Amino acid sequence: MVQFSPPAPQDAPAAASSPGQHAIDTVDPARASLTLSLDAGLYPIEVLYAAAYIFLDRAYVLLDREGLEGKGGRFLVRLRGKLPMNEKQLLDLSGEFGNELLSQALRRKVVKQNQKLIEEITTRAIAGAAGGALPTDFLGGDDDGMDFLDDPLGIAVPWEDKFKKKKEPEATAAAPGADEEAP
Amino acid sequence: MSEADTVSEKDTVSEKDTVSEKDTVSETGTVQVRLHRGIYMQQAIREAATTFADFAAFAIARDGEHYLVTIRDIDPETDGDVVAEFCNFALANTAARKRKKAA
Repeated sequence: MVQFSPPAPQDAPAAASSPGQHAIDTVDPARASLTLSLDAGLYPIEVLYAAAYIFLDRAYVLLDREGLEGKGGRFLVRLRGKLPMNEKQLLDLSGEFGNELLSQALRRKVVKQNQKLIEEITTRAIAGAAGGALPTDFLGGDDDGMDFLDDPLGIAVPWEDKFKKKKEPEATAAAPGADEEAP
Repeated sequence: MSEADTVSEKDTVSEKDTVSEKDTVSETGTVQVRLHRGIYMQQAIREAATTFADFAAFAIARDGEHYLVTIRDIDPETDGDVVAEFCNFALANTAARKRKKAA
């Protein structure tokens, strides 16, 4: 049974908008755009890439960074809807982005935790497909010194040869009359 | 994209053209986009520029912590926002390249 533990705060911050972690900087319904500000120390860049990638079909995404790398710095995420959006829709979009960040952070954590298991299963699967897991009976270790044409059990003998009736001598004795008729 | 493509024309782009709303077209039809070097990969930006080469002219230069992408001669008959789509492509290419690197 697989158990999921809630992510540690440093790996997956809450999606809720708190000023220090994930805040909406600007909302501009006229341009259908909003800017989010994320704490770079809390959100790994890989998580940001993954979340942004999900939104590429719905919005134009522009990422930027301000301040120092890591703690103290902030990622700026500018989202602009491909279709016109009102303020509520923009706020929804922001919330969805936050949820996606959380989802990707958890996914990353689970993959990290199960990395060895995944690698082991994959290795076994590939080894099996490559023929490494054949039963020992089929391995060539027990050579009995026989040629492939040898047939000690008579399996290769045709049925007709094996059960052919032997010619009866009486049948050949009645034949002389027939010989006489022949020219 | 050749080295000649990197912004020698940078000088001809006036300060006025540098738009704060990064994906809006200025009066002269030139747009400058600043992509952070710690986030976007240069190869990914070049790849995106190649993808959109039929719709606009791109020039890439370093500018401090950013890549400064100057986009000119945007085809007026093109449907959609070339600049914003270019940024999306640059981001998607970067994410794909980083994922490949990590694998």
